[in-house]
Amino acid sequence: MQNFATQSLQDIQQQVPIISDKALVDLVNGIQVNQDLIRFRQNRGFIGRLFDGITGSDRDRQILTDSNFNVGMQALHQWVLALSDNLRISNVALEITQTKLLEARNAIRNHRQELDLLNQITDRLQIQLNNHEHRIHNLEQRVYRIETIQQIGEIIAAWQSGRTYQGFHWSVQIAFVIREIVDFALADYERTTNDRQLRPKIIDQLISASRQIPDHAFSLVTLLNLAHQDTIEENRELAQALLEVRSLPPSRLLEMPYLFTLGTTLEFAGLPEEARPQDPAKTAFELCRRDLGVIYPATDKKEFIEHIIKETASDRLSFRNSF
Amino acid sequence: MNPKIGLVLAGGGAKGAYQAGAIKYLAEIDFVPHIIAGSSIGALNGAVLAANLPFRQAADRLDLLWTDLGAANIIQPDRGEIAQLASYIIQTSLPTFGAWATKLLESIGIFSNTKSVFDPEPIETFLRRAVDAQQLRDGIELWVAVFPSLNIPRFRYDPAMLVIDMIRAKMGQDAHWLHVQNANSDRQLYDILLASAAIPLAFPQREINGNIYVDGGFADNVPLGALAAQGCTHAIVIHLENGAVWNRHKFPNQTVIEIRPQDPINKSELPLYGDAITFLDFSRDRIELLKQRGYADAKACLEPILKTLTIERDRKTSLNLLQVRTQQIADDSPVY
Repeated sequence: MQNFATQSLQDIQQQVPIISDKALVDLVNGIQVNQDLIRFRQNRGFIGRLFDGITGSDRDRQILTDSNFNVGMQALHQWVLALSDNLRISNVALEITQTKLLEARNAIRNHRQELDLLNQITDRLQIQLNNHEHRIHNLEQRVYRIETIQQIGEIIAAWQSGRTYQGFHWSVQIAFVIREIVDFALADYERTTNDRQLRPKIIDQLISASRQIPDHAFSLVTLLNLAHQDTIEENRELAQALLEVRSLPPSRLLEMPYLFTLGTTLEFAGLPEEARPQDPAKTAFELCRRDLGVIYPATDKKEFIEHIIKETASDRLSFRNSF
Repeated sequence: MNPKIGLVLAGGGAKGAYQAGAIKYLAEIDFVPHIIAGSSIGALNGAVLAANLPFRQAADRLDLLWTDLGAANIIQPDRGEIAQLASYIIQTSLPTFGAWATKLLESIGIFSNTKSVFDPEPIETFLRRAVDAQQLRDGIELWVAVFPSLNIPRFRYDPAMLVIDMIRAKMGQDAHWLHVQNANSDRQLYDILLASAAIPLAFPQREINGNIYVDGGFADNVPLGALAAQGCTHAIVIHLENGAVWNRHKFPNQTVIEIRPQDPINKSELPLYGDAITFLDFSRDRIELLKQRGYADAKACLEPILKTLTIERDRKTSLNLLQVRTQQIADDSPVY
């Protein structure tokens, strides 16, 4: 469909006069020819002027000059018309271009408004999405926490029911159960969620499952000596191997004084009688105090469990994060 | 319609060197004519250009020939002929022209007893050396203007006959335009060229197909009409006189560019005498001066014309582009 501007352009195109090369050449070269004729007449001497008058060539030159001038003026007029039409076409083109520009600007403006609206909707959706993500994340964490608690519960229940770690002293069992809890549930959970709140729950469950251990304080050295003595003969070597600490680097040992003392006690107790210290736990305790620092001679089952959980979990986390 | 571009070379004797300079510039800007017309010395120049293609090479050849012409000094008056001519001219010329005619004869050193002041042999030899007949037949189409002189048996061509021919020309006797390549023999081909340059009294008239011809400049010194008759659409005309009375507007169907001498080209301002002594001055210095002026004038003439045409063509091109682009944008459906 043609609009007004298109129609105008077509109308004007049909009116454009075309100035020919001949007209332009006549204009420019006519000026040059006239310059020659005028110069000739100006410089003509008396005899020459007389001669030209007699032969009529002066009049011929005058006529030639006039006709060149006239043709030049006609060419100039054609050229002015051509330039005027050029200007008219340029104006129409400009008008069409401006119209289209305004149309494009309006389109851009409308588009911009739509874009702003879309941005607002997007922002709202983003907020909702974030909320949902947050909720899902919380739900996932809760599910994860429940699953972990369930796993921990199952591990403790299996131990409590006597299906696991029988034939070991309670302290060794605690070390094994806690290691299983950390390796199979707690370490991943804490690393993923940074949540340390499961530890008190585990401690409570383990205390609850350790009714055979008195609630009052007792000597750590005594407890550790019992760890060797109350472990049945065929499990001692296994306990000693699983809890050995001598192969660990000193930096890790610094963070696990109770596990060090327990493992070292079992190692000393497993030595031949002639090489075995008289009191393996006491020797291990003193060795710990000398090399690692903080450890107390008296403890109770809660404190012991807390230390073993803290040391096992921290060591596993550090060890995994080092990769 | 394809343009047919012509080159028209006016007559003017030794002033033809001016055309050699002008043509050198034309060749430099890659001008190549489809057809050439010449009168008198313009015919000889045209023959050199038509026969020595390509055109740029022909322009160089023409330039060199004019240099050689000045050095060889082959245009020599036949002094044995001139004494008789002197008395004839003084006695038979119109009283008005007597003084100048006398001066003319004195200036070129007169006295003897033949029909022409100059010995035609050297110029004929020079022409045959400069223009190969076969190359000319194969070259650019060439037309020359000749004037049919009265052919009266037993009458010699003398100053009285010259005056009669001048009167006939003034009374409307047209020049003839001969197509050089139509000559039926090499001899006739050279005769046609020499006939166009057969300045009365200076060189002998020539007989071609039963007609006696002399210098075409008598009646048509600028033979653009010959080219217009052949469908020429554009032409460059190189004049050899200041203030030449030649009307370009008689050729409304041709686009004509005239190259005219800007500075005085004659050695004297005196009418006839000035023409005559310049007409016959083939000296080396004069030829070099005229060539330089021809080159400079052609450049001064063509440059503003070419610049104007280029500007106008660019304007039309940009206008067309504007229209096309505007049409495209006008036809383009709204973006929203």
